[in-house]
Amino acid sequence: MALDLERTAHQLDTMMSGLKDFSSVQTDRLGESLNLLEGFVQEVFLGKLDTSSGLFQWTPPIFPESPSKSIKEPSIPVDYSVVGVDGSHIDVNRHIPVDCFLINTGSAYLRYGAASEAHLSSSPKLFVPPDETVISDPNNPHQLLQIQGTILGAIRAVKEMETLAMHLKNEELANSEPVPVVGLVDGTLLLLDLLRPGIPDFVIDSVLTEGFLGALNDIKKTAEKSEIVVASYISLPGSDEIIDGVRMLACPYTKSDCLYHCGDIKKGTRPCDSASEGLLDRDIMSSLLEEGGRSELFKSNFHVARNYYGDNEITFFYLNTGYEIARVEMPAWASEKRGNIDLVHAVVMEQCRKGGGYPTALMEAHEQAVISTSDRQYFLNLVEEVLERNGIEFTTSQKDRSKRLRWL
Amino acid sequence: MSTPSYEYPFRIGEVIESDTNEFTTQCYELYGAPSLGTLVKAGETEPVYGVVSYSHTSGLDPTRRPIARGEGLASEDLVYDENPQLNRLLTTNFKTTIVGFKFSSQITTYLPPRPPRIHSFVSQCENTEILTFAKSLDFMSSILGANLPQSDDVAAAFIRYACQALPEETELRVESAKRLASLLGNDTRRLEGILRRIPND
Amino acid sequence: MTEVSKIGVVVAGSLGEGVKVRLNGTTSVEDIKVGSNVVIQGQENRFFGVVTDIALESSDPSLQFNLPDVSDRFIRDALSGTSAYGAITVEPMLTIGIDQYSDATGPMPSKTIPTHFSEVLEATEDDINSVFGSEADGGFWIGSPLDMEAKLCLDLDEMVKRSNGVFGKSGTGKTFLTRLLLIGILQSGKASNLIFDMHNEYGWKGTSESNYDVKGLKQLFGSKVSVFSMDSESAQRRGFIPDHVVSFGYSDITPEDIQLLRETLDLTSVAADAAYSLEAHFGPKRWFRAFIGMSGEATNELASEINVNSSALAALRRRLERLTRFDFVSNDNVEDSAEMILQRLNSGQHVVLEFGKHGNNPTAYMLVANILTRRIYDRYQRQKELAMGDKLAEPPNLVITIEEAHRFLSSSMSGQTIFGTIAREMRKYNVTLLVVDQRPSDIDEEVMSQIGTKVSCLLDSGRDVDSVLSGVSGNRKLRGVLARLESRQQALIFGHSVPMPVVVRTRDYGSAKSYSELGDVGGVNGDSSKALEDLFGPS
Repeated sequence: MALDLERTAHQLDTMMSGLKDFSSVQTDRLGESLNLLEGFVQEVFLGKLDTSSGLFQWTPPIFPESPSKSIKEPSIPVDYSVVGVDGSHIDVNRHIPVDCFLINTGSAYLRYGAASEAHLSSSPKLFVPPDETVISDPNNPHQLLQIQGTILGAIRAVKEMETLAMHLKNEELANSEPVPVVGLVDGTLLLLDLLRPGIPDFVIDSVLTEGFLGALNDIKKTAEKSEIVVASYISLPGSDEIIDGVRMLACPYTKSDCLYHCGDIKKGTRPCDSASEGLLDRDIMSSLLEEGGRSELFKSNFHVARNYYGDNEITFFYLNTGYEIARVEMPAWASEKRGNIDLVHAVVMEQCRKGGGYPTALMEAHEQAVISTSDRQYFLNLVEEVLERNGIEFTTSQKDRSKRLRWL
Repeated sequence: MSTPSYEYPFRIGEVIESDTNEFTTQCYELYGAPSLGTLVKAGETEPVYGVVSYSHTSGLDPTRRPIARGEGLASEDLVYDENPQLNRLLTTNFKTTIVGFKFSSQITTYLPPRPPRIHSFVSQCENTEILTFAKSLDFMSSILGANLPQSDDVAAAFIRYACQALPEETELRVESAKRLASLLGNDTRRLEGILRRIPND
Repeated sequence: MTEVSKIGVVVAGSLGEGVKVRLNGTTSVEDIKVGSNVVIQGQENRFFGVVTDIALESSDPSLQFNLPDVSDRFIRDALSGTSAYGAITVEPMLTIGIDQYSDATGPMPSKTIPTHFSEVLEATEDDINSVFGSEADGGFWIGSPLDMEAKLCLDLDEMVKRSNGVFGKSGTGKTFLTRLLLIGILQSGKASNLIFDMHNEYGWKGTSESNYDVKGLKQLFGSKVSVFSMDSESAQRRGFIPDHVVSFGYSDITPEDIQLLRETLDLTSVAADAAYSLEAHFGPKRWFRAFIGMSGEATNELASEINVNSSALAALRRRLERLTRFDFVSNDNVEDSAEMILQRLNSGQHVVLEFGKHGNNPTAYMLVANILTRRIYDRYQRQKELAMGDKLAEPPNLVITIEEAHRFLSSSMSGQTIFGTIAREMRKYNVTLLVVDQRPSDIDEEVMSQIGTKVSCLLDSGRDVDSVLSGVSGNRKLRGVLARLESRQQALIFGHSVPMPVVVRTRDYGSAKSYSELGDVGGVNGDSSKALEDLFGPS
């Protein structure tokens, strides 16, 4: 037996007893934060945000006027389309002699209304060495970054957005009588992983600016001509940006200089902790939003991102889908129009209802993109076959072989 | 999505599974399978003929089960209108028992040397072809002997289908019944059951 | 009958039991009759056979227990001929060659059976002709096979060589058939006929079963036929004058005749045997006259003289007195009727002896028949022996027709009467019998076995059937056929003049057309005048 479940269960019991104490504290903190939002005044908040800039340790978004308001589900157009895009990948496998990886992008085009129809497709792309598996600095060809892990995830996001841009463009071109179109991707539009320290600039330029934001700009261009909106859907969001704002509201100091005031105070006992520590945005939102309702639009305020995103600055709202609290992000240019937000709200709600808690278009796109375990194995076999046919001996590491052949 | 009529134009789908005795066709259209008992052919110049013996509609992905979606909708069609992806995710396949083949423009009513290739185009047959098989009925013994739960219905359905397609063959129904009777000489019960499924219309 | 119709295929069988034929779907068992003829096309032979049994069969043994819904016509149609089908048993009788070569040899008795799945066809006219011969081959058209229009012919050459029999219970058309056979013989000129016409049916006019008059031989053949009568009054009543009125003298009566009449005269064997003693005592030809004229006392004396029981002798005398009461028996010397008949026969004429009122009296019938036949036979015997193999000098073939033959040919009688002798000696002296009887079981077995061709209408009792069929191969199956004959106009014919037993529907007799076909062909066309010439020429 690989995992000693008996011992694990015992440990789980211990964990639960800790959690019980925790949850009552949580309830108190949630109540506190709701109180703070009750008395929210936008000017005060924005002023404090401004004065505390650079000193406050958290990055609250720009709050709307009534952050605790629940906006009712708007009506949905009779005819509309949804394009969902999702991707999956086979990462570089160091057990095989070639550093290749594969991204499979799935998309689902669903048209509703009188001329209802659907197109489901997937498009795999194999990235092969030497050029496609690395990102190189255009100014210094010797500066290379092997694409894998986090970067590969970002590349995948780029592929997804490019695919969405292509579909939306095609849709715009194909329809003589255009209907509102909502383009949906899964996961956040904020590629913060790329902006972490240590990632060279040429990578950011290549992946984020040229790739991801380039695709978003393409969509923006298409959207100028017809009613096209792009949004991303985040299920069970782990974000706590709004909580960050609540912290600021809870901060008793005029100028929230965290190091100065609370630098010596243990985490959990700081003044702001009473209304925020351990809470997530969705905890608050689940208390605030009625079923089918959305929050007002928040504007993300990560200064690292601001330089790159520009027009594509991320705005977001939370949505009570009836199944969960979801986070919906839209680039600022798309959320500028209230109508667009309503469209996204209505469509995502309807999608969640159809999809049983998750937007159908994304679910189908995921189904198109997903690479099953057997397909992964089959892909490996294919690679092996191709290599051997071309005289390259396929030597896997002993570990990999032992994984594949489980002898006694 | 309507059942194809006898004048159904050519292509229905493609062969996706093939063996000596039967081949499976995936329909281009959801619910596009020809009626039970229909004679179809797979392949272009020297086609293999089969009688539709089984049809099946299910999710393309065997791990995904359809769920009920119509609660609160006024009609069944609305389920499909409201969930357009269903037409892409569901697929209709049908199996055909191989009954003969054409070789140098001659139709033979026994098994071909090899079954049709995968992706052979499957289409409906013309009346002359139907007549050839309806007159011979050589294949009936293999259908009746196949021991499928629906064997008897397939046999009856083919005769119904042939009679309907060839109204000018007025004796076809009785002639076919007699052929069945000689095949099922020692099982009158079963024969009667089949004949009951061939009403005169 | 132009189109050959297939009725089924052979599915089983044996030479002993006949082959089983499964009828095809379109042939109904109701269309097939037992006794009808079929042809089986084997691989190397063509078989000519007779349907001996008809059955309903099913490939599903449970069919009779789980009855399908036969009120549904469709289901009934589907089942009939397939799961439920008709079967017939066919006795392959003859093998007909398929090719020209074997055609020449003619039909042969089947020594094998057709292979499985041989096709079975209804027999066609050509088949019938190739088996039974045709009129063109000299056959005599006796009737048609069941359900066919083909002419079925008898081989008359074979027929006159042997004694023949016509059997059937009363009312089945024996007379009718006999008349046809006689006409056949007459037409062909293959033999002369002497007919003991017990009931006045052959010579002048007969009565058909449906009670209308039909023409007799005299009317059809005119001068070729002489009608002798025992009873001129009766002839006159019926509107014709017989060629001769037959009478006999006492001298014509022999002790042998008395033996024959023993039963009808109710004589004990002692009394009948006394006649021989009387003949010895008084001498031949004279004994009857002498004995009949004796008084009672003289008879008693005679009894002791010739050592015969006196009461027996008295009984004999009393009974013989009955004979003297017949108007055709007289004490006077009379014309020798037997001689006259012989002359006519010798000249190729045919003689019908009508009994008139005496037909109802068996004693008279038997007495006359016996006396005449004996004398004729004696003459033939002499002639034949004189001819010593010279064909031209031989007397013409003679066929003697006797009705109620069992009276002459019973097992107790046949050893003693001239008919028994003729029957056994067959054609040795060119004399054969045509036996007409309704009780064949009473006829001596040995005599029956000598009968060449038997024509049997429906029979009453199993004993009669047995006796008719005794010694015939496959008689068990023929029994079934015989028992199912229709009571009129149908007969089973078997023996030498047909290659195989066959049921015929006898041809029409009594219509104008039939008369023209059956009558004296001499008057109709030239060919036959030659036949007449042949007939009269040699004698």
